[in-house]
Amino acid sequence: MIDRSRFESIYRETSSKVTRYVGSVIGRSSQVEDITQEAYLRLLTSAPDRLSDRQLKSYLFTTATNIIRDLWRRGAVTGDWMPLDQENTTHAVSMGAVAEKVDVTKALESLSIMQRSLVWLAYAGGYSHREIAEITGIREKSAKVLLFRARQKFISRIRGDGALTERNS
Amino acid sequence: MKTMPCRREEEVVAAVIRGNLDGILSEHVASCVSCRTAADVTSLLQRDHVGKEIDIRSSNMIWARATLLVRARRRRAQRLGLIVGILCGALAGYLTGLLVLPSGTKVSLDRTAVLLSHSLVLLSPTIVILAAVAVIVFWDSRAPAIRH
Repeated sequence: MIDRSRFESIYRETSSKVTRYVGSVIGRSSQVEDITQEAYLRLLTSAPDRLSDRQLKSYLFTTATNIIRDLWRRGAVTGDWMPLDQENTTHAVSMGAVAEKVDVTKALESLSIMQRSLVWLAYAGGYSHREIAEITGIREKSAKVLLFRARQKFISRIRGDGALTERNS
Repeated sequence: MKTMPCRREEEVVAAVIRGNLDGILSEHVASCVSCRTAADVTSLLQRDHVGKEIDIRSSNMIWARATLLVRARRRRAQRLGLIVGILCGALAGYLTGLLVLPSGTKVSLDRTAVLLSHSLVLLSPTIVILAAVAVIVFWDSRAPAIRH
């Protein structure tokens, strides 16, 4: 078990991020708190002491993703884990002036759980493709492809809502 | 028009998060559709703090719960150790008894055969019991604390 001062430092640094990640992925606030707390509990009770702070942070996101996956398998989290079809969203979608009022939550909800997870980790969390692959338990190459598709779908959804205007139109 | 992921996307995303997208990288973003999109999505998600309104529990509470969990696990492990110790002690006592009784310290071939057969008879269920206990403890430690 890691020592208390180290835990508090990691908690201060990550609690907001982990909560936002879980909230973005499951979109239901009633479970966000429980999942976040469970991720920290597992960090304290199961994470090896030798991990660096960076590794501990990745461990947190991996654990949170695993908890969400377990809940989804048991039907406690709704939505598709992966996209049901091979959506043709690889067309170039350019975004221009980003409107002030964009319903990001709504756009995220249109994605599958895995897509939400990938989009958040890459663009809100700033994780590399390799780290995202480790956190979500998929191969790096698959992570890149899935992330690209998820991003295109996310943008399409935002543009569809008329919140964004095309720069090149 | 089709587009493909650019190999500089990670670099672009990191620069947007740090807030220093400038120079050559900025020129690249201007000319690369994929990187421009990545930069836009990053700006959007960085600005939109999804879930920020959720009040998270204090670290003290989580620390206290983790401490209780670790103590409970330790107690379970100690109980398991005690059970294993008792079983091993009983087995060792029985085998020692077979060796030394009733003919003092002499061990005949017949007695050795009896000893081996008794050991096998005793060891098999002991191993099964120990394996069962180990499985239960392992399963228990993996069970999620969140139940719905």
